[in-house]
Amino acid sequence: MRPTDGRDARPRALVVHAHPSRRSFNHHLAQVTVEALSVDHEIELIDLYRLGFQPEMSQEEHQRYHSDEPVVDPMVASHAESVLSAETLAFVFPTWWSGLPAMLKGWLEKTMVPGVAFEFDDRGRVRPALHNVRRIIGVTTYGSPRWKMTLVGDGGRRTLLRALRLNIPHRIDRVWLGMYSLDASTAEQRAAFVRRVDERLRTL
Amino acid sequence: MRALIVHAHPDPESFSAHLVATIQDGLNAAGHEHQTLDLYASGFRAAMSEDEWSLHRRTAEVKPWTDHHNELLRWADSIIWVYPTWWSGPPAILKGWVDRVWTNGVAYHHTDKGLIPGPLTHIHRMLIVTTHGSSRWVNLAEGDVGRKMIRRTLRSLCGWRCRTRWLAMYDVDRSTLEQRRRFVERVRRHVS
Repeated sequence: MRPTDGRDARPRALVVHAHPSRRSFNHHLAQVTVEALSVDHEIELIDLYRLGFQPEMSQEEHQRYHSDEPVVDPMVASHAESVLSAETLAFVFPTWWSGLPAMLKGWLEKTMVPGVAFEFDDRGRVRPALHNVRRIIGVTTYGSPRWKMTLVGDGGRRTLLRALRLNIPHRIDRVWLGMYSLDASTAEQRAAFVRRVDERLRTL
Repeated sequence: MRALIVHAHPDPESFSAHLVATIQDGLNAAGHEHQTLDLYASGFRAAMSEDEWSLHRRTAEVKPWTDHHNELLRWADSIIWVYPTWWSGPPAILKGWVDRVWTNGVAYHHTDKGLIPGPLTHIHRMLIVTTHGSSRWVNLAEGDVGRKMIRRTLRSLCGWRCRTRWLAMYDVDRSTLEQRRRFVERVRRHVS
């Protein structure tokens, strides 16, 4: 048996990352996430800024949303295929205004379309279709302290662990790793968070 | 009232665009001033760039891409948000407007103690008009992200007495013409 055979059989993890700067702490977290997950997973990284992803849903995409072929953009089509073969969906992003950055929000809107994340039944109701997904991981940084995020509702976490999660028709493992008060953090606190992410994601 | 209407829908023939026209008519009839920021029609770019990210905490003067938006926000005393709710929140283009425009000096002052309100405290009213493909129950289960972002996070930067009014139409994909008409009338009443 060739060594690659075993590797191909490993579960697939899709890591979706959205931060404009490669010099950011967040980008470093994406690299740590990929490294740690690759111990037990075959990894695909989608770095939305590096790919020049267009997050705005176009008029054509909107008009075709309810058709048999809602995907227009070939890049989106390849991302949708990756979603459909992934056991783990991991997201690494900064929380801005208590939510996902527009880049990641737009990726969800364009990729998680009918026929990929869900289907409509005869009465037009949404039915979950992400049968392959067993785990959602969020790795994020917050400028604000934790109590403030609790107060305002942590929209990014809700979007992924509730709204997206509702498209998976079975129990899943949910992992949320948040670094709070990033703006006021010390180098030691950031290093400790990196260790926490690394250890948690190596031992899923 | 000086109302800034912020609109985010890719289709100029959409129900959402029809709601904007209704709001404009209603404001005209009541003698209110208004300006409309149509994010799709103006070709607004949603993603904050690397340069913008490195500058967004600095003061307004060094962020030329916010100039026009900053002027609109200075002029307005009310913000009317019109958008379809997707994945429990505003479309990416509208989230991007907040990400890129609501920066230091435009929406808040960045201090050692964090973000403090200042530049937007003259905004004393916000109206949100949004449509949902799914039911109220599904939206609650999803976490009601858009409502929380505007009513809690963004409202906290406006005036102390800033009132928000939320007009949502649920199940719009399965609605009848009559239901949509009733919603349009409800919106019209609120701005007249």
